[in-house]
Amino acid sequence: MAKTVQCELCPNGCVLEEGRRSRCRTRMNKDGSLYSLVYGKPCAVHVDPIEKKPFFHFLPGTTAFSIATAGCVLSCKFCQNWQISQASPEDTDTYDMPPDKVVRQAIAHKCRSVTYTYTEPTVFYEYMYDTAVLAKKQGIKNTMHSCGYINEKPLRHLSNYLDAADIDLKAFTEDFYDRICGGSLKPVLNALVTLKQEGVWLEITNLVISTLNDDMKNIREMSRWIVKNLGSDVPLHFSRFFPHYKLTNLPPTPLETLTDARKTAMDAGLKFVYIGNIRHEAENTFCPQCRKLLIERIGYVVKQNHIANGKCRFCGTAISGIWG
Amino acid sequence: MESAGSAALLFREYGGNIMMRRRIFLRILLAGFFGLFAKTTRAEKKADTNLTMAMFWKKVD
Repeated sequence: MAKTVQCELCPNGCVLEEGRRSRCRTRMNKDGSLYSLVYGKPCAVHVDPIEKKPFFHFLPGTTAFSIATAGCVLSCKFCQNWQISQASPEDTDTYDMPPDKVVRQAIAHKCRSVTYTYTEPTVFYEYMYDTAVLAKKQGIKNTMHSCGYINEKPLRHLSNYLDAADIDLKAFTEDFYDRICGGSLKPVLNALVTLKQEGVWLEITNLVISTLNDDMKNIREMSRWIVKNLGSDVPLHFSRFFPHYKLTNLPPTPLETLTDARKTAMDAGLKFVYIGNIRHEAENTFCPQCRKLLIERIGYVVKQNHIANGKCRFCGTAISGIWG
Repeated sequence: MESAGSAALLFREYGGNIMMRRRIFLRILLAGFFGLFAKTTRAEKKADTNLTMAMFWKKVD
């Protein structure tokens, strides 16, 4: 009797013989069945400002109970959490924290949401799903920061319990995904469209790396695709790169590149474009109609918020997001 | 007599100790052997409780 299985969670589609593990290191074929090796075993547990994810249009000024396990479906050369994302579960120190304990802890720490983040939440799908179901029952919202490298069926299944997603759109070329991340772009674009269709609040993060994905032509193309397929209200975060992991030879992204990228995206029609990982006025939210300052942020701290009932307090324009 | 006496003396002085050493050595061996089993059994149990059946997969012929 054949004991080979195929994982259908992400586009990697790992075919695993008896005793073998998936590329993400967290799923294993045991006696002809596929098991998760990380259920209830997070290696990172923190209470973070929601702005750190980053979510700028989702419950600003609140905290998120944030968890992650080891493993990732991609292998980005610039990963900022490579110590855990590129590790096997047994190589990390873990907490014993089943889903009910996560929700209890989130309530105890007065968190409005649970966020699945740091590494790639797809690799702990079962843990995330069960936690999300329990959290929703308790009135806690669920968000994830993901690379979006997940198949449509599991993503739709999860979307029933997911309130918001921040997806890393790492570049807008197949070549970058292939050479730098060990993946492909198309499944990520499909995931973005699926999340939009499912009514999950969406924000996008693009880490700008000098010489690799800072071509304004590609950024313009990416921004136009977002406007056309997801809408002009989707917040886009251009994040500053710092040398990490295998890309320590490259310099931090110059501020000028980030401001150029922001201008390019706004010229393409996006209403909310932010700059992250650097102190700049583009961390703030401005009303797209009257241009007045709506949310002032300094780092992860919200200093002022002039959005009332989802509208600009000055001109009454509706501002897309989940505000209360 | 001298020799017999000497042999008895030798047994009391050294033979007894040799038997004792053998018993101790045997006990250590047995303890180690069963200890190995006990440890293996515990590790196996722990691994089983950590495994949760995954979602979204199929058997391949």
